[in-house]
Amino acid sequence: MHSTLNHRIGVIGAGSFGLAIANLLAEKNQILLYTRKQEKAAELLSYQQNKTGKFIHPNINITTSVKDICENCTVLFPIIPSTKFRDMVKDFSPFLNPGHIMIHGTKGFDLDVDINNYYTISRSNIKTMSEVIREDTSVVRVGCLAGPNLASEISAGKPAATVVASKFDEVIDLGQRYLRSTKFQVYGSNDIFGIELAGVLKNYIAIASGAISGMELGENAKALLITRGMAEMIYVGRALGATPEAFMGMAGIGDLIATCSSPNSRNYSVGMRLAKGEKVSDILGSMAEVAEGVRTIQIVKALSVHYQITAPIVHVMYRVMFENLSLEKGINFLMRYPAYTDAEYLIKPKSDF
Amino acid sequence: MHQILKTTLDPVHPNPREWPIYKISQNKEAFLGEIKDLTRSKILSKIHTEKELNDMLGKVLYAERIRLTQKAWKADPKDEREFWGNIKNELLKINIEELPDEISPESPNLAILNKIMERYANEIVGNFKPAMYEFARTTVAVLVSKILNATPSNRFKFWRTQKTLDEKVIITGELDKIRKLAEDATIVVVPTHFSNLDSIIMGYIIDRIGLPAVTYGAGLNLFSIGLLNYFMSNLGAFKVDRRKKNNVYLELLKNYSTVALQNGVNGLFFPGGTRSRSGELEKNLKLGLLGTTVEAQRNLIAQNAEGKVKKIFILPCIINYHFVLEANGLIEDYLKSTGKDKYIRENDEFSTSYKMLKFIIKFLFAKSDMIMSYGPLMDVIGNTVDDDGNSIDHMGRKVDIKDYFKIDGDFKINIQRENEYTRMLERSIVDKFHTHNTMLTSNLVAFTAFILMRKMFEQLDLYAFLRLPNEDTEIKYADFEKSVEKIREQLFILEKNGKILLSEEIRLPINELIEHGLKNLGMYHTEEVLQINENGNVVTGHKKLLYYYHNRALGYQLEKYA
Repeated sequence: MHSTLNHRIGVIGAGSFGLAIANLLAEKNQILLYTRKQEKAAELLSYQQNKTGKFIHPNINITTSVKDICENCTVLFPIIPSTKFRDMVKDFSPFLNPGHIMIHGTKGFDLDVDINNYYTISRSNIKTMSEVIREDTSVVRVGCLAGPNLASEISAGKPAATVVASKFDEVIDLGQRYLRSTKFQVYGSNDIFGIELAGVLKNYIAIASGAISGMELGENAKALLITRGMAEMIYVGRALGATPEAFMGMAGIGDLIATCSSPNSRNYSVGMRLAKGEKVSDILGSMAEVAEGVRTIQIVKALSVHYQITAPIVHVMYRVMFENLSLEKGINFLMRYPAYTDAEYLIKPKSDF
Repeated sequence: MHQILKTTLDPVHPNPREWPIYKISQNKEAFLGEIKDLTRSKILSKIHTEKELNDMLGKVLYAERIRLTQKAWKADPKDEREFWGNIKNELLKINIEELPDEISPESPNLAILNKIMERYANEIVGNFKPAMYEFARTTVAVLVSKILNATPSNRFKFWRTQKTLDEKVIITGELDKIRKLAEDATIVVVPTHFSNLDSIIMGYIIDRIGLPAVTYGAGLNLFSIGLLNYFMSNLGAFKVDRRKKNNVYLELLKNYSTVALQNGVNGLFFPGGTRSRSGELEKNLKLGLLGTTVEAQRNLIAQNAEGKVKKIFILPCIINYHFVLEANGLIEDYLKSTGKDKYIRENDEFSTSYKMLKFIIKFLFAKSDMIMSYGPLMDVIGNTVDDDGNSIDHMGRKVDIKDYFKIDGDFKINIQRENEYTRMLERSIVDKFHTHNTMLTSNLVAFTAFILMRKMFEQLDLYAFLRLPNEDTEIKYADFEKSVEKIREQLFILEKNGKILLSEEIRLPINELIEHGLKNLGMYHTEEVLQINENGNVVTGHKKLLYYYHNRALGYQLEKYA
């Protein structure tokens, strides 16, 4: 076993979730944290040295050198927005080899088209983050992190759980060994595609949930939305080739409950602010970090058109965000959407919503 | 560089006595010892108590006794019953209660396991006699080609219009590179499998490019055919008994392959497992035997983690026939089992030497060619390799094979990881089967005709369609020609993008192409698979066979162009 003083583990990206994971990992190991910009690195360093602002664990070293982190660390946790993911992967690629392991924590899709110009897209147009890593690097052992992981709560030391998914058991073992603590449970799964999908798809349900809270429609309405949101996720997942199981676990229902109830979730707060009457452009313009859900809405809507899936939540949210449908009308439509069988996705493979 | 070979190349290593296959044959005891040790350690890594071991041996005995009563062959050794009778008595003598939980080196169960392994190992192992090999290589090849239509030289005017055997069987691929890398590396040839003739042809074409002999598993039933037994037992083939499905046997068999590869013996196995029943290129492979290449490579790395590692390379090989003699039986099997290989006929067309010889004669008298395409060499992960044997990944970057077996910077054995690598290798091989498949004129005409006929009766399911009278599915020659041309255009695009190879005749003027295709398509079946009738229309004489030959062109999304 190598000394834990060696930087064997690296975290790529110093956003709120990246920092939360870096701090978690740093409890037991020396961590190298990569951030692209010098200013950001300097800022983080001053937080760490002066113990002000954001908490940065003393076991964390900060670097802006791609070469540095790739040569020192065999296990990397990339946690950066999906829109910047492929560019990051391409920057890192020359320094990566098959001995590296990457476990990403990004919940979004990579697209080969500009989503604003396309009415429909199919599975072949989208890539999950692990697929991007496989495509653009020599790394073969990839994994992902997903689950109810609100960054602010993890940072505050509150209990949470995650699932590490990978086709390789050793990647899961490694993730569990490094991340597990008394306050952080780590589950494992081999269904990486399903887990990645669950992590992405829940984003837009969270926006709708935030809107319901903002409109003060009550907890029953929210439960209705979450439950039907889960069904919609399963239908979309199925069309893309995933099995429903992943959606029933930590990355599906677990993450859904957390993000659909918490003002700390960026996606949820987008919905809240919509309900308060703010304009979409103003909301997005004012956010320090991206809400993946907005892009997810565009993508899932285009997918549902291609695969002819009945997905009322995504269609309503799309019209609210991009076609000036009033939120009130949209949510009312959803709340009155005709109901048939409960939990039908468990009973038969296909059904009208 | 992609080359086309119409001759025979000199051997890479001229002296068979220096080949690893000869060396292991000479040191058989040590070789078998290595296999038995490996097998024992693998079994004992899963089984930890005397009780479990005893239970497992009981299951082996039970399976073997069933085989003896229900699936006995004449060729089985005479002392089979006696051997398993003794094993039974010895097992009965053991009182599990008196034994400690843990398996000790003196364990009576272990002694029985050793006995069973000993017997299996001696049954499986093959011989390699250089003299026999030389004999097979020179005399037989010359004899065969002389008797049959191919001419060994241009000396005889009478024969001059005919092709030599070397010209009849065209070989393509990066032959110089394969030969260069075969000097140091171990090569595992993985061919597509359509006909029982494949094993013989493979032996021939591996020799033609000058590679040292390969070891390969041949069905035990083939060894019961007198003539074949004589050759195969001395040419490095090892025996595989498909009736034996017990864990000890299967484990031993896999380890035979692993240890042979580790010792540098070139290997051959048909990764699809059995012949393609549908006539389609293999899409799924048998992972068990394929995985032994990954395991052997890992062991070679373990032996020398810091130094230069001896490499194992996978060489896909795609066999392209204009006809498959067994096509009728195969497609019947396929249709009966509707795509699942549950139903496999035990007696087939090659059950006797006579039938097999007849087929070889038929084939060699044929005026049709055969193209064997070697795909690119790959490492056991499925990466291609450069001229120096370095692994080059899909990004075109040089990667170190050792890195795949490291975790956290250290070499570590992990079986589940290797299972995933085997799956990656499977995907790469299947991909190369398609990209290095040479489309023949017969494939193209069969495919086009079947699609056109099928489109006339889209509302019927496949089975109902196949039962239609043949006169109902006549197609107009002009339509047929137009579709062949359209599909050919698409084939040219695929070829340009490296997705397929095309035979020379595909480039002929369209009516000549069609004529060539019709003439060669399944030329030895009693019915004409496809022909032009008195009205000048294209008709089939055997829809199932047409379906079979059409399947070969699946997987390229050509359907919509017909």
